[in-house]
Amino acid sequence: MFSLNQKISVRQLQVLSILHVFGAGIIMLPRQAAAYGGQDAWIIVLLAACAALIFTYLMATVGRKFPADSFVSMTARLLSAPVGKCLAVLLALKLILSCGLALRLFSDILRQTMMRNTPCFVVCAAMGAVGAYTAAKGYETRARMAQILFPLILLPVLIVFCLAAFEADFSNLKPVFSTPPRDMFMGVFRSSAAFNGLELILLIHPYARRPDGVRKGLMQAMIFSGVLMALITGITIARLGAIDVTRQLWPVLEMMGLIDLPGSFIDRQDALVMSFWILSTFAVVNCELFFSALLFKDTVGKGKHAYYIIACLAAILVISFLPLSAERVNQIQTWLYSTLDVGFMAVLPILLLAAAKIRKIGGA
Amino acid sequence: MLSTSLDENIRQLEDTFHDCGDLVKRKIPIGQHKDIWIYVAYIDMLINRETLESHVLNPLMVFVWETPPKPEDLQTDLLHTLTDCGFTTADVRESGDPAQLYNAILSGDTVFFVDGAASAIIISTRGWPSRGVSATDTEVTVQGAKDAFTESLRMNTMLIRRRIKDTKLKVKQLRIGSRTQTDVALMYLEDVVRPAVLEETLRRVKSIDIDGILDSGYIAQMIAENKISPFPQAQITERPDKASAAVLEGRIVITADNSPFVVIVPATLNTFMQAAEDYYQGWQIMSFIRLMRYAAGILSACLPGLYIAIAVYHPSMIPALLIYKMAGARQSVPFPTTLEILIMDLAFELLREAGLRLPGPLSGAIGIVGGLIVGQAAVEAGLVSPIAVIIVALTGICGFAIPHFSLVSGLRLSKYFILICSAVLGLLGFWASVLLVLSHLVSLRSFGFPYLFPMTAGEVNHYSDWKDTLFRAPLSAMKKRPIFANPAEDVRMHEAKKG
Repeated sequence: MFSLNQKISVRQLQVLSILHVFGAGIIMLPRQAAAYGGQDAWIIVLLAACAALIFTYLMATVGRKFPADSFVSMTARLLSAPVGKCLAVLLALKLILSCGLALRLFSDILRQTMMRNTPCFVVCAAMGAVGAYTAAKGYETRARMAQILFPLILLPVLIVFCLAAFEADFSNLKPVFSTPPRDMFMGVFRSSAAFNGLELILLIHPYARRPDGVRKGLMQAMIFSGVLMALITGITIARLGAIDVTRQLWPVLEMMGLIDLPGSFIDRQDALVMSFWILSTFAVVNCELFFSALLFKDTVGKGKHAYYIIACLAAILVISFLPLSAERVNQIQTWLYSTLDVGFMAVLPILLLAAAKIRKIGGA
Repeated sequence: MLSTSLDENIRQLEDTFHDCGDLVKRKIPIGQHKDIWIYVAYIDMLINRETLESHVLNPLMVFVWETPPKPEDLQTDLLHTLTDCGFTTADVRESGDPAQLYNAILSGDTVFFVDGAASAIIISTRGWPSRGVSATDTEVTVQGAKDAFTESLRMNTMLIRRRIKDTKLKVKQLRIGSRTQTDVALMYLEDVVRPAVLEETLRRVKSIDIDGILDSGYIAQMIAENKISPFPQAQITERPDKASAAVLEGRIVITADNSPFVVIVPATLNTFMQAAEDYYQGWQIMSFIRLMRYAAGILSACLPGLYIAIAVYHPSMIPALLIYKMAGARQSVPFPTTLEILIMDLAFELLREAGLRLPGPLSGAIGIVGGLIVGQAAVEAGLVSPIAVIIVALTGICGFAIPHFSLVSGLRLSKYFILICSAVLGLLGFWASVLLVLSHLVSLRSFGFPYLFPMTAGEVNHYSDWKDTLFRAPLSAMKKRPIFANPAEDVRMHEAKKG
């Protein structure tokens, strides 16, 4: 029989992580990477994926030591209860801000490509409501939903990019390794922002059916995501050229619009592909809503998860309604990554591992 | 409890069955000197008169009279003497509980009250007019058995027993309905069913508290985990071969008296896409048909919504030639596209409902009226465009391609939800509503099993269930039973011994 304890398999965890990372980062990634590395952008993305792998390893190692503990109880055990609660609230607020901005960006893209006359708040409210409904159904439901959406999101994108690869001019990727090391470093740093959301690895161990398999599973998922994102970046640059990619706000979408699907019935496949972005944004929204509400619930220590989801959704919608340009949203996201994301993904795991070592708490 | 006084027991019975004109009762003297009194009671037409007269009354009134038992036996233990040698039928039992006796009478048994005994004799004489086993109406196949379940519970259990000649096939019988006292039987293979599923099914069936069960559909609804969902969580079939296949898979068949349909639990979306015939023909063609069914299921829920989203909000997606044709066809239509589709779809639903309720020969006429006259007339009058008729007709045909009508009902309701959301928000509304329906489906469970298994959580059974999902693998490759079976008995086909 199946359990009713909200536990999920490692395979489901992998699917959830790939969808989240892919949905959150891919639209902006080629532009960000190309801004620093030009035709070497795909190398930057690969290196950023390596950085993400290191973060994944660190966070999964922390989670492995405390497989049954929530984020709040784990940080409370290692760094004291007040610090644990402060960190949980900070992470929840970061998730809300990040989700609000992602929703805002999504509504801008959607309005640019498909629904020019639809107000921003209608788009955000619709996506938020759908995400909240799934988040309220629990972690198992989210995992199963991700398994259904995985082929629906990735297959069309892969088909489109394979076709794009046939018409791409790969000489646009030459010469390789021509980017100065400083720019390369900055590019890797900024591009690893595409992997934001990885910090949630600190929260997922209590939901894993086999916590000891989480680290390996997540590393595999990150390798898959990294290679896929590097391929997409490389093909986009090969097709459009590095200069064009940096000029476009959403080069991936631009490139999709140029592709001729053989025997296609549909005239504008960028609108069709956007349909699949709706699905991936949904994956991001319901994930961040679920965890932000969970963090608040664990911090307060009482109340139903669904009530916290409603409160978080209200906050996310307020942020997404703010009159921010795409450029401004990008700036805030970069700032978020440079400060809080790096803090939660790199600094905090090292701190927690050190504290566990010093205080001799946690498993092997 | 019964009294030792026959008159007191008769008075009590007649009080209880006051104004029940169908109760047949008679006080009969038996024995050589006709000095022993018994009282017989049964409901007219609920019993088999032949059994009663030949095997019960004849021995009692003639044979006992001709070869009387020993007088000392009659004096000391009249009841047991009659039970042991008074009837030429095997199904005889005693009871002193009036409620149980009255239930027996109402169920078609004959009850004998004996003077001086605080118990009465219940003789199984059930037999009422019923139709025999006939061909299935709702799940027709080209190849395979044609018989269908009937309204008789015993006939239904027999139809499954005839197919599974295994002592491990158990028939657990219960009574549900405070007034109807409907006989309900749970059939399962003792070693193949998961004990937790059996326990949970029994608990849910026993917890049904209702005055009457008039069809097995009552049970299917009352044991569902999510009672708000429009999607069925228990499978209903009238085919004994399908029910037997379910039993072999470790599932439980629930059959209720007076219902020609049985309930099968647990059920997942995948089981609703399977037809009995899928396993009677080659895997290649059946895999193709299975795939078509899934596509039909998706189209039956999504097609009108998708059409509205694209035609109203994103016409630029449609090739120029087609959009000109569509615009030309819609030129004289006075209604917006959404209303046009809604009108046609509701008309289609009405015609379908009318076709179902009408007697057989007339229902064909409704099809002609609907398809030819209403459709063509509406197009010619400029009320709807031909493309709207095509979309609605295609949606309807897709619904008919799904083997289980209960799933079609869920998809039909989802269709309207998706249609309305698409009409309001275009492709965003379409996807948002599809995601909501999907979220609902993935959160559904049937007796603990995820509704979308094995599309989700398939790894639990090492993806073995995928062999009978979108495609149907060759029978020789389906060596394991589905997830429903007890893991200790999950192998249904052993490797052939070599050499």
